[in-house]
Amino acid sequence: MHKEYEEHKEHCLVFEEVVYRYPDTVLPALQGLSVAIPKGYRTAVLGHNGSGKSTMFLQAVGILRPQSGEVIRAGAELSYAKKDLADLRRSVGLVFQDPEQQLILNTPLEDVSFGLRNAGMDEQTIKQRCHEVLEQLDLTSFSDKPIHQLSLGQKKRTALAGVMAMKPELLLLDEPTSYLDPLSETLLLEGLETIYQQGTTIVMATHDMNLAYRWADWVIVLEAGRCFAAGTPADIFAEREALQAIGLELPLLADLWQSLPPRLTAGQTAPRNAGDFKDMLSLLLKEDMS
Amino acid sequence: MIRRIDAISYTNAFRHLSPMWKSAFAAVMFILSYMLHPVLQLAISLWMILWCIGYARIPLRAYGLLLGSALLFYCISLPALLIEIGQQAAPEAVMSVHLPLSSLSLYITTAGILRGSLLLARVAACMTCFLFIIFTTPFAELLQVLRKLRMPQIVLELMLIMYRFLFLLGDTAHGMLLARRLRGGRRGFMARLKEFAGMAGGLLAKTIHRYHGLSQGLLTRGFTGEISLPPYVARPVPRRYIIEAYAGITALLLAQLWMMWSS
Repeated sequence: MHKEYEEHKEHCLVFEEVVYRYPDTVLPALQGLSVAIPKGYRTAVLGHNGSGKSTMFLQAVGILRPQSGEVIRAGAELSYAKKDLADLRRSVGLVFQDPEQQLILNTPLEDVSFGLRNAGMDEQTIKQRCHEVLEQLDLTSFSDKPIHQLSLGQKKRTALAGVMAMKPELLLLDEPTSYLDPLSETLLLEGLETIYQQGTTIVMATHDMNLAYRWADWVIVLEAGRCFAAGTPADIFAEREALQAIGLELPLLADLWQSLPPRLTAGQTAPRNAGDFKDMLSLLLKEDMS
Repeated sequence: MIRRIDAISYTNAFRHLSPMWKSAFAAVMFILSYMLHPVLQLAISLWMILWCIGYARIPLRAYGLLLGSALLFYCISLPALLIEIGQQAAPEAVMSVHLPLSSLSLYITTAGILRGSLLLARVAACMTCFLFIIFTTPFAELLQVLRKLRMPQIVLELMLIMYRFLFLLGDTAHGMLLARRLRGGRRGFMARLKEFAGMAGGLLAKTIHRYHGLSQGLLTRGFTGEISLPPYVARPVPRRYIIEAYAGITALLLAQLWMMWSS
């Protein structure tokens, strides 16, 4: 089922046979991970807890270092020299699952400016960039509110804003929608869409198969620290048995689409959101009845 | 209570006044509270209460609760200040109690009452000055003031991290306590004591976990070995407050001089 990533010309990052084992654990978290992150795509990384998603992200920003294998960026192996790591973290942003992990200063406005000030920007640019990003993510109304008074959704968007302000080429999001209510999820996804439209490659690790199906252009499935599959959502979710064999469920819409009679779906592109699905279904049923 | 104080510091009417001016005003009043006559110390207390409740619109209940909690420490130390013990009650004692089965007496003297009263006046004045700054200025702005006063960076960073962790720790402890209560908890004093000891251990483990997470977060956000705080932004203070502050301080100093000369 593994689709060759070489079919994509440009990649933001390539993992080559990366092995990493955390201290005091029996099994490696990454067991020869080979996968590429295509540039300009919305990529979803799927997999169970412990499949290696977060470890892969920590490798991507140089927090963890492969014990064997290599992480390649712009055709060269990652350098772990202090200056190179600083450059890497300016162009590859990581948003953690728990926003408390990366919110450092006291208010959204102050916190968003943290990375920019570390990068040595002048105060005028920092101010301008902060206001832009806060507005994009609809955070302006509480930009002066203390972080600990914000809701989880607001904290997640603030964490995202802090990373976005750095204008990274590649944005990695670890379970960004977990524990969020539907409204907060919608606001977050709208913010992501804005960033994507500005040319940032986005990679999202998630357990939410429906979200991955709806949102992603490219899907990577991790299993036990290895890449189990990588491809377009249509290709990946067409392999029902293979996914079920590793305990992953099909997205609801993909499942419903596949359960329709083949005479209706033949030659049609599977719809990826509920609105398109309803429109497509009514059209197909009308055609079938006439 | 700390959450309440924090929330008030961000929502009071003095929120947007220059933090440097507020700090300087509180500092001057604090020094005067220490030096002036007890009657003037009481005047300072009332004036600072007016600034907080009247001008900054700090909720009376929250203010009273914090001032009351602080004065509780004074009350705890009061017996040691007031009550004396001796073979025989001193002649100037205003109240005495003979301890049964002994030749000792407990007694209170006018000097002790005066000592307690003087201390109350000073404590109240100093506390109201502190409360002015605590309630009207958000912690982040206090850090900016300290930075402008050239406080070492490491101290500021420690204060910042402690402040962030205080709330995280509070949330974690609350969550753990709630989980234990929902599971029935333990009954009896000893059992509860054991439960709290267990919780303290759990809290430490979770704090270390949080610390580890935060250090990863710092690294990913380009931490360069120093947490750069936003620069101090000067803010205006309405003329009316400046005039009142100057007038009040001058009046206090003149009253002190008059008291010194007249005695």
